[in-house]
Amino acid sequence: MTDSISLELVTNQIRESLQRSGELGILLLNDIDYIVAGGIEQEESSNRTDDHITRRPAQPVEVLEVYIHALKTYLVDLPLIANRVHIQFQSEFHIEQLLLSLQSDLSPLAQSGEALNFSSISEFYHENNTVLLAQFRAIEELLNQLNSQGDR
Amino acid sequence: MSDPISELKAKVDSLLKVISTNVKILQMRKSGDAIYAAYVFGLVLQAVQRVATPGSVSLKSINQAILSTKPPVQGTFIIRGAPGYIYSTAQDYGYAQFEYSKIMYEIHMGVRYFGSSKVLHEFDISIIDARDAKKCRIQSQCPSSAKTKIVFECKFYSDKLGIELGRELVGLVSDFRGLKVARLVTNSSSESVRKYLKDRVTYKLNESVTPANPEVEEEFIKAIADDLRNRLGS
Repeated sequence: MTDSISLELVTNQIRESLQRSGELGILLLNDIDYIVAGGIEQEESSNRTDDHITRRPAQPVEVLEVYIHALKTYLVDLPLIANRVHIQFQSEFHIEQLLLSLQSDLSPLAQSGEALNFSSISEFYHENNTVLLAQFRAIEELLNQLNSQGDR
Repeated sequence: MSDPISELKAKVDSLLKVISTNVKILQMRKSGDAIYAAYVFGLVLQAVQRVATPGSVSLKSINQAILSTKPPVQGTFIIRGAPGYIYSTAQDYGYAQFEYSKIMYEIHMGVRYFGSSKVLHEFDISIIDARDAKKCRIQSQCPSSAKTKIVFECKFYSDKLGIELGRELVGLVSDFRGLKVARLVTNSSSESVRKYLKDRVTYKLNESVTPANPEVEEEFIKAIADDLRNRLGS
């Protein structure tokens, strides 16, 4: 029980930090809440059909795992992907400035040209990836440890 | 030695410090699917380079195609990260071009097509005959379903994909009768979507495709190269 309460405190620590990060952090929190609300898929059963996937509410350690996994997806996995695209276009097609236009040309605001520059993500990747990856690995190991304690 | 919870708190604390000093990076949450589509576009290009007429693969831009701006892509390439028209000059959107079996093709991102029902649908990545694409640009028209050869839907998720995404793809593609291959590509996985698409010929699911899984990447590139050999040029 103490562990559950402590894990909820850690989860809340992340929630509060994301809430303080403004609109973008709140958007990410909405994603996380959606995943947690969907519950955890039950173990495979032989008579399961696509339309009858059983789910159960997530345990505190699983909720924290969802938070950590979501953060890792956007802070480690996506920068790695963006960096790869940047390098490929640079080396194979001599593209120095790779931009992602986020503005639909179906909208009358098309000329505003809101765009994301891959080089800034690449920069973030090179500056933080090693540290972040080590931090996430350590957190995941601790979560595994807590999970196995819970199993016993 | 400290207990795991205290250690966990300390680790999470230092992780949150990185986030608080790089809040802007959370902006990627809004563009995850589009960045992922750009990555898949890059993998499709690698597959194309294996099968296309040597030296025929190049990057182009809409201004070059319509206004004959020279040189075409002067070190800048704009990826279309939101749905739009193939003829739109709202920005100098980029696309790729290649020759296979003496026919030119174009690879586009986020372009809208008319389905058989005359309703417009957008595909994250699509391959179209270059003559049809050119005609659409000249006439300011969207390409029709019959002109699409191969399409890709790209999903960047931090969770497993739900069955609804498989159903969505099948529903969407049913409006494109001439389509030969439709691939759902994701960084994530989904047992239910895998089962749902398993026995369907046109639809393929590619899971866990990320730079962290080079073997999966290679398998994906090979599969695309096979699609191109088997489905184009006829």
